[in-house]
Amino acid sequence: MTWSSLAQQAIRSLLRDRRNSHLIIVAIALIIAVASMTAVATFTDRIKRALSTQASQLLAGDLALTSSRPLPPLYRRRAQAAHLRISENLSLRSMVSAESGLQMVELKAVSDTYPLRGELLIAPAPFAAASRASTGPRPGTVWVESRLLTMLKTVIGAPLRLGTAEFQIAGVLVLEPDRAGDLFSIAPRVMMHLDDIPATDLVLPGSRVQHSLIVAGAAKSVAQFRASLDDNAEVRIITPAEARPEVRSALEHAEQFLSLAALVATTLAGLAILVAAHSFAREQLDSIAIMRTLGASRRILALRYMFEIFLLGLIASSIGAGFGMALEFGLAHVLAGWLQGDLPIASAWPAVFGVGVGTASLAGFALPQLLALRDVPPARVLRRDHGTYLARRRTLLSSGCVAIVLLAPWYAGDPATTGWALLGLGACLVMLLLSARVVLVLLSTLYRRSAHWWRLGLINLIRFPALTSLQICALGLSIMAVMLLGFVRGDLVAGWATSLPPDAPDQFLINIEPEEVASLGDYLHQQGVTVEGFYSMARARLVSINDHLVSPDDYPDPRARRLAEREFNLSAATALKPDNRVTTGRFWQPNDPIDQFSFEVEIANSLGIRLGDTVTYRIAEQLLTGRVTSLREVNWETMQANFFVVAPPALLAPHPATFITSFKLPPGRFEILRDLAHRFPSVTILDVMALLRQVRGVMDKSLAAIQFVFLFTVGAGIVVVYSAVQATQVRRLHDTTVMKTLGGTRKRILALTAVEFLALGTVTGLIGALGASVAAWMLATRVLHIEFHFNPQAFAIGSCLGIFAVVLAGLHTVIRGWHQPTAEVLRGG
Amino acid sequence: MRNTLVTAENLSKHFLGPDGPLTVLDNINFQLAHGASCAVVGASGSGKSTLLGLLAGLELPSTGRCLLDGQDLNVLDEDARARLRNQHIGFVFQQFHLLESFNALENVLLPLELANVRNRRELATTALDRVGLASRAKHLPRQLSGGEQQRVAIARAFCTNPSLLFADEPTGNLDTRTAHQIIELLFELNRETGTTLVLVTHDDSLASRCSRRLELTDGRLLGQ
Repeated sequence: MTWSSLAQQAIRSLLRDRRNSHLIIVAIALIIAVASMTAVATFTDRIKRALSTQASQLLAGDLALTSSRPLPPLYRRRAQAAHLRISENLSLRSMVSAESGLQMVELKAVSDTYPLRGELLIAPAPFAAASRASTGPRPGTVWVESRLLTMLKTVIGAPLRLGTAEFQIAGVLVLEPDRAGDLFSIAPRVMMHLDDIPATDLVLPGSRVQHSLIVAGAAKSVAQFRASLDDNAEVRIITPAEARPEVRSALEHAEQFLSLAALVATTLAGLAILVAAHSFAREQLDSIAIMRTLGASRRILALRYMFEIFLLGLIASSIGAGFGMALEFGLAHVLAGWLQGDLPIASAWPAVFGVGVGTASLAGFALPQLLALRDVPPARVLRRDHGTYLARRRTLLSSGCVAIVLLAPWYAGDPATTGWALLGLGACLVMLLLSARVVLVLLSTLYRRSAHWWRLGLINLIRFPALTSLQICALGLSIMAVMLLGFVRGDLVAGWATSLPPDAPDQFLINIEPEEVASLGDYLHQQGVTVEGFYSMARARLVSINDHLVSPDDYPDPRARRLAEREFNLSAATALKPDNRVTTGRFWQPNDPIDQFSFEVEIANSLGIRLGDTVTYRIAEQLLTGRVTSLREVNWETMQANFFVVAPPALLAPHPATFITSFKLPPGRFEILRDLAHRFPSVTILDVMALLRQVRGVMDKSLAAIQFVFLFTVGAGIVVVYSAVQATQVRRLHDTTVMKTLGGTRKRILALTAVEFLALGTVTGLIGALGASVAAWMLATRVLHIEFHFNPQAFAIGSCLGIFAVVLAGLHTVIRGWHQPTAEVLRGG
Repeated sequence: MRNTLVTAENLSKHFLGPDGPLTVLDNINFQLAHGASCAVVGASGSGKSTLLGLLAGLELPSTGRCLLDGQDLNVLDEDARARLRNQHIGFVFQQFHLLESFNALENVLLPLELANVRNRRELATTALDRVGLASRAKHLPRQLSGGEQQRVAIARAFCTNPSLLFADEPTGNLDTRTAHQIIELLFELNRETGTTLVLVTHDDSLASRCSRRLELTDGRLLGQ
């Protein structure tokens, strides 16, 4: 038989089988699976890019280049060549003067195009309602932070002298999108127009100025521009994800959830295909036996089914991908307003990916069953009980697992997340199979010991252990996913979202003198404000590591170079803060030696500092040496005051230090801030409320995206339930008919079916709930590092969900069985 | 007739086929007495199985009516007809129609369970013993030969002690020797229990063992 005649035969078979109910279910399962996969992939792609855009707003652009020297014009030309929008900024520290005195400020001069992304908020007066500004201050004017007005005892409209030029204070700067990562910069911000810089004479050779070139535009153009940049140690390239650690962390969590949801959806789709293909294969046994009797070789049969399944996969996956794209467009349209702005245009690759994944899933979950049909002996035409020759459960699950393992990295790029998710899925399948065995033993015992008529309802579950196990596996995993994603997810996401709790501090007080700590604490207490604590803070420069003098030149990595150059905020702590976690070493106890440091793990890695190293800092010409005794992970999302380097209080005691504290301002109590500014004039108030809103906005978008993706996963779960019940439809139809013939009333037959569905739904729901709880615990503790709260109600909910799912999926079959003409079924045999 | 068990009055059955209405049974009239044995014969497609379905209340006629012991089946709903079958009718089919998830004993038990009979297990065991399959009680249908499966079906049909037994080509799927054994068993039990037997068959020799013969041609009753 030639290849072309084989292909023709496969096409003919597919056309002939187009009315085959099981093949239709395989196709529908595939279409729905691929539709959801494509929609998930498309939406994930767009959401990721939307989130990235959102993060870009925190950078005021899509990419920023910064340098202590003027950026070569080449960069500007390349950006222009890539059709990118450009904003040029310049920042430096400088003194400003008003009538009442002088103050050091962080000056930022911006071009007309600033900001390219994000929000610039200004207010007409301190603590007044802020409004959005589309560009920076006009030439001749400046915007200032409200605390500068307090410090200089000046007002809006008054003049402010910068170098050799004078400007009018035109507004209060509430929020700038790219406020530097260091929230605790001492000096207040003054923003001016870039064109005014020459008039000030502030930028002279040797001035410590940071030059920035920010670009924005199409992702492809940005990537093209990024690729064109040389590896220049003097130029720092900042991407949106690096803009703020809080946002980066939120994005990472969002990606983890999205990948997980997509992976579970794929697995559920695979199970739906597995169940439906099993039914199809069973139905093929007789025709295979006939074909073999008529001379078809095993190889011909294998090729025929491979062709047929490939064709089916291609057609159904293409339809599914089309549906997925259409569905995604509709939902993205609905969500567009919710997501504040248009989502980026979907790329074509998720559809291609969907077709590829659909065909691959079909090959992994359906092909082994169809290939096993090669072994059906021709003798079956003589005796139908001559073996079933369906693929073994072990083979099916193995090939399905291989398919998922091969597909998983395509979804979750992060190997750790993929690994844990796959491990979790594998453990789930093993657990479900073992649970199915236990359940079958228990049901058999119950059946044997009971004499009531209702026990007959259990017989279908007991007598077909393979099918029951398959159903329990499929239903269990569906319910587990639904539970995990629908209920336990609530806990997980809440745990994540509440890591930025509603009472996260929105006001930071810095530059608090030691003698002011008590009186300031008393004042805030009287105002009903709770402060988290007062932390000492000393500016220190890293001098040596293990007696090796630190030089920026030691570090080829630009980030490490900057860390080696800059001053650190050292802080003292008697105990580990709740939002810190020691990863290596041990945090000091009260009576331990005082010459110790605890480093945030990422900064230690950047600087090449390891546990046990001896580190020396200089604070105001005095040296401070200690051993690194612990490395910590810091949960930056809590927005609490946290420090990269911490020492025991006694080590910092002899050195000059100020204190920092934070609190949440009670709603509408802005007078507290005004009062504070008057009573404690040397204390600097940092209002981060607007920044908090911004971070929360990113999190809210992530949650919306995750909820959307989870809807598809739930849909995929329901398809599995339906296909599993449909797999038994033929037998159920026959059984119902025979019972009706022998005198079974509708009530009695329904009661027996109810017993079966209740038993199956309950045990599967319980198993699913158990699996979901274990998976959630593992996710919470191993992947997301958040606290897990066990929910005993999950079991009740799981059982109800199981019963509901089984009844919903089986009702159609039961009703159809009842309405099927009895004589017709009996004649059909 | 006081002794009448089955009455068919002007029975007709039409189906809507691709080429329009199709008459499968056309104006059938006959009566059957208690304890009679009746063979329904005719070529394939003559309407034999349809007639059996109407007489047993498995489906309703397009026109006319069936009476079972004076009870008009047309006025009963599906559940009432099911109860009537459970109490009065036994079935033996060509395809056996055993529930594949039930073992032999459970298949025989099924009508007794549905009727909620008290000593059902004892009755079912006795019935299975009567057909010579007591030792195969725990076997599933797929573990039994065709003849054995038909014996289980016969045990299931007789265990409720029905007044009427419908046998639709009971030997159609069996070899000659087994078929002969099954027919002997069927008639033996029919005699023992005094059941009225309606036997649908192609086999003239089998039909000749019945006291009465109904011959169908193209849905019409030719001879009685």
